[in-house]
Amino acid sequence: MIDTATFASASYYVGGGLAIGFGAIGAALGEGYTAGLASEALSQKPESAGEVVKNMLVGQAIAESAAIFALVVAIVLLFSQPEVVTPLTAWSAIGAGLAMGLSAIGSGLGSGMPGGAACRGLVRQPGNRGRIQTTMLIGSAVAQTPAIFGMVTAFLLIFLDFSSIPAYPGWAAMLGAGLGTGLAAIGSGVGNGFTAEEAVDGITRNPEAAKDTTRLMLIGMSVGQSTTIYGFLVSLLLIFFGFAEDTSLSAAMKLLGAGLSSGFGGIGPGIGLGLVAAGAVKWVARNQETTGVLTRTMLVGMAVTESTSIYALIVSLLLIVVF
Amino acid sequence: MEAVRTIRKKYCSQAMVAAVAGAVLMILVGEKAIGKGLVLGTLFSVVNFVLMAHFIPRTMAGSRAMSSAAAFGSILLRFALLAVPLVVSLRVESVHIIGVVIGLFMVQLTLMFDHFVRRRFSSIGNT
Repeated sequence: MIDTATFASASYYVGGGLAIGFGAIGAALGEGYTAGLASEALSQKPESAGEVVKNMLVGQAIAESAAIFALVVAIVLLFSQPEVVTPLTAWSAIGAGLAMGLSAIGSGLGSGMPGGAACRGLVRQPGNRGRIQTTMLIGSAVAQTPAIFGMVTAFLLIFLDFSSIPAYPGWAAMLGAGLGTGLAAIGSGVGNGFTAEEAVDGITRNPEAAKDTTRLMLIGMSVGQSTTIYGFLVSLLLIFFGFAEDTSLSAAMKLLGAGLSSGFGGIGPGIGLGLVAAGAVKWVARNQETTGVLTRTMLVGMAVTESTSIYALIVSLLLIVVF
Repeated sequence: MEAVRTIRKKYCSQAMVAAVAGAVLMILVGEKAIGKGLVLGTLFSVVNFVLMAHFIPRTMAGSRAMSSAAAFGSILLRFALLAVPLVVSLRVESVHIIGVVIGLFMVQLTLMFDHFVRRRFSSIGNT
């Protein structure tokens, strides 16, 4: 058995490792995806090497932001341990690492996807460079939002004073808060990537539809982030709701279960929402006259796709408030 | 890779100029530690971008094993470097972590600014 002080101190190192360990996965996949499509583009038109590599570099730099968020949280966890570390702050540190690391997976991958599509587009339509790059940058930047939710949750878990919260079942609430936002953000990040990639492809194909395509992309990406918001909401409840002291295992497990419910429950719908929006964006670019009907269909499709994440949210709320 | 050199020079110099301007502003309003952090973070953000561009020919040429090794080495080296200013800011009181964090994103912010603000204004000027 390890003593409480050792566990508390070690948990900050574990939290730091989780933050950058998971965080690096998404950025690496996103950057790799961009570079892979850049290679595909170069194989089709080697004389465009300068322009493609330049765009790849910009796309990768933006995709790497998610990993830099994770690095910041990891370094804060590793080097700024409070003088008095309690079991509760120890679990908060692990929760913070999970919130940041997991959320950066989706954003890192998602923000690399439009970069790859832009490399492909520049080869097909070099005269349309400005619009392609603008859409790429907007898409990549918006896809970072789920990681920002993760970072906010991580900082709340690191810097808030939890001295008034009982350690039991508080530890499970802190861990659940990290998992709630972190897991849910994976789906939104990846889903946003699908939407942004399709928007870049669409604008490459039909620059005249750039305005409608970008608008629909932004609507689709915003709605696609709702599952992350549900996860974030559950995390906030777990952090701020306030629980009476209860040393039973079931009291802790219901709070952990709340985080897991909204977290896992957000992954599939997050990706699904991105696919719905990607489909709408793709066809608006091909047939601009159908923008109205496609927007309506997209929103209806998203509402239905989102329903499973709402079930998960309801279960989380029941676990926190009712049981 | 002349295009990469050009973009590297352009964005790195713009990021440093922005950081110095921001630091001067911070010092003038009495937030010297944030100003110092901004310059320090930007310096490492620039080094990260330079290394990223530097490793591109190595990751795109050679065998798959060599490319993977170069990419992995590049990420390890760059992340280790980016950690330096953060650790410094947590250890040294005269460097504020907020400034460092903003500085670490200065190249990305410059890319965005260049695309959305500068180009838009220059296109208005041309019309």
